[in-house]
Amino acid sequence: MVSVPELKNAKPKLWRDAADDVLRAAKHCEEIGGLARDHVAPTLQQCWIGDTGEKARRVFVDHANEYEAASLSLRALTKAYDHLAEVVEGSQRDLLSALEWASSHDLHVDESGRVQLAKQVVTAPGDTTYTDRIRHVEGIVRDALDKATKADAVAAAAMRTVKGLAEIRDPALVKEGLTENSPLNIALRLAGRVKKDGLHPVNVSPAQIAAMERAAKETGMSRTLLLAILWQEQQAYQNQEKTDGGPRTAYGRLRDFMLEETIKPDKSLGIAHMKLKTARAVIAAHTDRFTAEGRSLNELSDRQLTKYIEENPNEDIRLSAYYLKDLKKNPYGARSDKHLFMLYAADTQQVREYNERYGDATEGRDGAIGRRAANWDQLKPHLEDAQRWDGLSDAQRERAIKQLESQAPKGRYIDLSPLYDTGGPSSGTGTGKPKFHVPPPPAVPSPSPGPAPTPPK
Amino acid sequence: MFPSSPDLGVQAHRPKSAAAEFHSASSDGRDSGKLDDPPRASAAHHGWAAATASDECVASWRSRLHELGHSARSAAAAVTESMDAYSGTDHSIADGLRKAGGSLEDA
Repeated sequence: MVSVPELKNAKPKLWRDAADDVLRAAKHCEEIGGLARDHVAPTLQQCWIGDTGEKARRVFVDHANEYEAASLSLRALTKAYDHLAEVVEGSQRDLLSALEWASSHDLHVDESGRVQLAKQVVTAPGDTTYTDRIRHVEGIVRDALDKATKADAVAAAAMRTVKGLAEIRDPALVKEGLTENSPLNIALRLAGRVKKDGLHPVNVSPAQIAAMERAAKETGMSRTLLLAILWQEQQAYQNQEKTDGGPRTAYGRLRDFMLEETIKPDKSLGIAHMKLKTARAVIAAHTDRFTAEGRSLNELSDRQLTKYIEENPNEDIRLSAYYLKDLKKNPYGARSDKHLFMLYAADTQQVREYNERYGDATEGRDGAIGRRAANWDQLKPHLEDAQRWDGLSDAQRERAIKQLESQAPKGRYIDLSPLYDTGGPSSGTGTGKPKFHVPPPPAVPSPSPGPAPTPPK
Repeated sequence: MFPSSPDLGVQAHRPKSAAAEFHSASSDGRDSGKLDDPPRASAAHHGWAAATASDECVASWRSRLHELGHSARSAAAAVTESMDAYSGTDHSIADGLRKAGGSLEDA
């Protein structure tokens, strides 16, 4: 989420300059492609008759196509910069005028856009002047931040797509790739993710993904949030006590169970990494939802409940979804998915206060919470792309992969690696030609054509 | 692979001139692939998702445009070289045929 200082200090003119710069590159591509297609290729056709000439002509026709593809992609990038600049210009104007107005009416706007009185005032009972002013300013500020944040996300997604398009040489495929949410478009966004971004996949089975979807429907929590919780809590789970080798999941869970029995009553359990106390609170708040053989799970002993949690990952997911729902009962500091993501780790007054103060901004959050906030920022777009990919049919996915394969050099491995296991096809191998084959000059005959024919005697 | 015998009917002058023009246009426009302004914009927008995405996108495209330009100029150079070779060959073949024709005439 773009914060007040981030929007206040933005420089949309620089994005405009970026747009102009990329447009220059696009126009150069059009110039060169045009020359290749309309000048060099026809000249060769007319003046270089024969097989070699035809091969040379083909090289220039291919270049023309590749330059056309490049130009289409670069023009899309220009649009992305221009659109971002336009929205930022508008929302920055609105923000600055709201800040000025607030300042001249004794109001303080914090980084998240929350507005408060700058100093103590005494008002008559029933006088809503100040609350009205606060609401007025807050509305404008929040609106400006929302617009800027959305534009930022849209621009980033467009740029991921254009990054993927650097590999696409066929102008027809570029057009399809630029069609919003076409299978190829989604595949390009997945391919455009930097693989070294440190985001390991959400390591859960399709059965657990299905459980997550059911839990999302049951509680109204977003799938992105539940997936992010699983990703984050897995990290903690898998990173505990790194001295233990071997497969983390089964052994790790067994180990936790044993620890729970003997040493640490406060240990976090299961793939949703929830403390027993928290689990019991959730069960108590929704007794009819968490039963086994007609009895509430809270009737189980600590040992039995621990075992239940460790052995039923699908139930852990349900518990986490209900826990998140319960966190929202107090809306203070629990307004967005990102807030909930942070509260899941620690539901404290301080975290809630900071959520209210900083909104969805990550700048200014420290320590573990800051890292968690940064993780959310990184995860969210890729979880959303993975869900879009998941929503496609196998046939749609196979086709998009084949299209990518046709553009990749032969033998190159393509792995879209969506952030969770979406089942079905997500990888392939390049079938395209190797990098541009520029024919060397043909083997010309030596300048002396051999001995002259001997005249007959 | 190219055939070992040369194409006949090669008029070298126009392809040579087209290739030179193409090479020149490509060289002249090389700077357009530098894309220096996007990184300036992203540097001023630390924390925005578009800033990181822009940097990664521009890195891929700088590379792509460099590759395309290099390849285009190589293709133009290859045509020029071939046309030069054909010009040399055609004259020599013509000379050789004239010499051979002269001997026959004497027979």
